Amino acid sequence: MEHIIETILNYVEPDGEITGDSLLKQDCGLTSFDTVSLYGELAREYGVPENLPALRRARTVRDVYEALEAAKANG
Amino acid sequence: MIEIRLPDGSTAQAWPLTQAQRFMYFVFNGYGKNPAVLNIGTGCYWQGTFDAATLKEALEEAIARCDSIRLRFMPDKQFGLVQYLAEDPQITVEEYDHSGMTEEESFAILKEWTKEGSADFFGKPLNLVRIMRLPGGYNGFYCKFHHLAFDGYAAKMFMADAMAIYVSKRTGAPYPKPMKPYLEAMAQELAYLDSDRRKEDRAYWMQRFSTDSEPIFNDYLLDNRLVKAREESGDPDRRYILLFEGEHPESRTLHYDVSAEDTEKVLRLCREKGLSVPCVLMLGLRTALSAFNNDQEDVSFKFMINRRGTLLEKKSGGNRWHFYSLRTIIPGDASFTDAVKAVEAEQDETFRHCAFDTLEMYHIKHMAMHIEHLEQTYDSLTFSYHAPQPVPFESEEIAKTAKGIWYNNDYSAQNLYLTVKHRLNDNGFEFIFEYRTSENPLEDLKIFYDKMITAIMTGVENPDMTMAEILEKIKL
Repeated sequence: MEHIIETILNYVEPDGEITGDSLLKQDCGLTSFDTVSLYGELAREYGVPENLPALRRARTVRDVYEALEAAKANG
Repeated sequence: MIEIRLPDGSTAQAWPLTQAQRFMYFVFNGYGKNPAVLNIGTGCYWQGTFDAATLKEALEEAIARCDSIRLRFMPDKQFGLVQYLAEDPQITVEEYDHSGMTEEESFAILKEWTKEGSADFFGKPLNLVRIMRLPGGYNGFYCKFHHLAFDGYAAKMFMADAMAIYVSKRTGAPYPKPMKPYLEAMAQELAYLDSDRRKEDRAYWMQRFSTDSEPIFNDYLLDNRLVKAREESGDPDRRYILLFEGEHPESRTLHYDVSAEDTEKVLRLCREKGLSVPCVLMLGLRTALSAFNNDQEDVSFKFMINRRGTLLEKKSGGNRWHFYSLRTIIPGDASFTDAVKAVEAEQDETFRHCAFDTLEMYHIKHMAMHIEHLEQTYDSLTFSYHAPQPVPFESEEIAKTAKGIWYNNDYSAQNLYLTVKHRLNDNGFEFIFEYRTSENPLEDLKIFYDKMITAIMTGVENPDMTMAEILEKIKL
């Protein structure tokens, strides 16, 4: 999860701290373009497809982490 | 990287243009090399306390922190045009007092500044920043940026940075975090040209254009150009028109303000349902196009992509705009909410492959779809959305008086360009239609806007309503 948060901080400079419960749009301030770019970067690192349905549904930082971990575990 | 000789005999390290810059330079060359096409004129003004000396200091510091304000260009045999960073921005921040003029007189002068420029801009400083005292007690600053060195996002980022420095000096608020190096962002753009990702993106677009069905042109003019093209060609099934965008680039703008309350309704729905604001706006746009074209379900238009995700991309200035078609086929029984999601899915799919050059994309499109004419198009207009970018002011009272103004340069590279942005003082939407005067679409545009905003607000207030029901409400 720490790595996901560090990567998000390459995209935005939020006022508050980012945690697993932070909402991607409201709390982190990620735009649609940010999100697509971020998922692309993380998916390449994890070796999983970047348009995973679970990523498209993700609302929080934890959702992103779990979607990537699940996709990686399932090969 | 190459070494070039500058007009004063010195040398500099230089680089080819990025993909976005090449597109902008192509546009410049396509419009009679009219320098106004490459000018962005904008200003940030407010009423109340105004400290010109501190603003001058803040602007000078913002200029020193912004690499791309030092960008210059030189012709080159190998690359056509190359870019380099001058050591000195050569921008003197001078003060201009228009407080004794009428608003119209002052606005006319600022518009003239925005149109000024030379086709021979090689090796010369391209940007200017001026402190302004305007009529009505408004004070602030005006900027003219060159479109090869800035896009609208970079312009707003510069202005927000200057204001954050000003407010920091005035109130002791934290000094803004540093900007990012332009050359690093530029190097990433140029590295993409030789990357596997570019090969994958090329293959993606080739595949899409080869296998997708033919789109159809949807007009915003009531005197429908596709109907005319069908009659003139004798081909009742024709789905495109020939649009000569190089002719008659003279343009004007038509502005509409949406109230802060109605804008907040849109933003609230987006927050509650996790929807994208520009996709709600684009759904409104495509619904108006649909209404103008017999409730057509298959709608395409061009949209501008900022391409700024990482902080390096956001804070390094420059021009990163790419333009792509956004095509959606939305059936009448889809709910407003599902239709927004359909637009968003197509938008996001385009985002994944939008680093690919705009010019090359059109080349591939023509090749894959066996398009014979360079002027053949399915897109009648271009849409761009400027997300709100926080600009700090000294106090809430001052912030309520703030206004950001974009000065039209009176030349447009496209027939119709709709920009939606947020007002500085209350965050309400501003719809700005930049239209070619040769088409004289003013009356049609008023109807078009009315249909578009009615579709948006009807959907926002009734997110489960079907698109067929919304189309019925905006029937011509």
